Amino acid sequence: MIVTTKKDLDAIKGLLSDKKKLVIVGCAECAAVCQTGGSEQVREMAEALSNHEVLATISIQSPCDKRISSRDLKRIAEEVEEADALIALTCGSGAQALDEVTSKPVIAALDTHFLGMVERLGRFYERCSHCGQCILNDTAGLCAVTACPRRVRNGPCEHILGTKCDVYPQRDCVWHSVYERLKERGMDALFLAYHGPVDWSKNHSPREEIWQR
Amino acid sequence: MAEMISGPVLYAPRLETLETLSALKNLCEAHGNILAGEYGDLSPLAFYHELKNLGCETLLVEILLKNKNRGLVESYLVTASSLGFSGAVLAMGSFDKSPGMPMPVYDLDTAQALRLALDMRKAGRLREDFRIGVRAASGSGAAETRARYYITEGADFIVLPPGGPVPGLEGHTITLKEAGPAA
Ligand code: SF4
Ligand code: SF4
Repeated sequence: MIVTTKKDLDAIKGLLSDKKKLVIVGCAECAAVCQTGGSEQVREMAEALSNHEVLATISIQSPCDKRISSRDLKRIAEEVEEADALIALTCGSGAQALDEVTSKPVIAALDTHFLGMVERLGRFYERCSHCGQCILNDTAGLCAVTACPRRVRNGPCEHILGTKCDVYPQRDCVWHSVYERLKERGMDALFLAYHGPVDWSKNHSPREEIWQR
Repeated sequence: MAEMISGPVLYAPRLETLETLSALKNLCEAHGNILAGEYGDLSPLAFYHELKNLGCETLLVEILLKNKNRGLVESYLVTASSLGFSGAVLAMGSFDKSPGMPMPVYDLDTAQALRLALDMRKAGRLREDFRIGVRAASGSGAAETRARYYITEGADFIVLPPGGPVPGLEGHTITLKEAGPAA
């Protein structure tokens, strides 16, 4: 799930000085779970922008999916056409998809942070930093790359303090956890599997994944 | 494999000014071996000749992996070897979290940099007698397993912070006389 937070409302209002007619679009998936772009937050945004003319509000299941955005926005096609701008309570990918499917100015109302694992509402943890060359099968299912502040792929590094990480001394070094978990599972040999440097030629933005049919 | 360094090594983590550099002379004469650290404002690579003139028997240079991509690590290694340093110690480098400072970035970890350096030596890009060491740790199963791995892979030595040795690796371990932080 994509973790987002709300931008400062005054900053958003500052971008709307020449935009009277608005459509507010929420995300019923990730941003809804983050309580940044669910229907409640869409309603709150409409109230906060009451000195503008809010032509329509809508929650789209996955606004980052252009197929779904195009389909759902057809329901409010006239309002979108008339609007001076859309307010996107979505991640950055969603905001750009809305721009691409409507060709309207889109105001991004959220900041997008990371791919998060949800423990419960309000507790989101980064567990994968999408390196594109996954080593999870060698590390007993713990992403050492994301949990290690130095992104060490063959750890631990020399800064381990006992079993703790020097950068966050209250936390275990993830490579200590990998070592212990592999041992528990009788997979010790994997600890020394060599993981080469990330091949950045496959891993620089903007990334694309195109199926060959 | 290059020869093991005998005796303790003095670690000078920071070369800040030319004065601090010449102040090392007495220490160098007393200790014989020196590891010139990369934490100060002066780069040990740029001051090789001044360091050499201190009269140390073994002159090692620290190569921090933070904020260097693999191309720059290669360049540091070739430069150090060509200048005449006795060898290099590869280390991850401290992680500065001070407000307003950029977070360090890392391209290679120590195991990857070690493999790179060993391959370069094998290919003749580094002198045959250019020693390659790595910073390691002790005190946990994970750290000691990794330290043993470095030696098995071909590192000439490991450098440990003061404290416990890694059992079985005593003959491959460099003791820093005046241990500055591994950080
Ligand atoms: S190694 Fe970690 S960051 Fe890379 S893809 Fe796997 S889980 Fe994600
Ligand atoms: S101590 Fe462990 S978690 Fe911390 S930077 Fe080193 S390898 Fe990564």
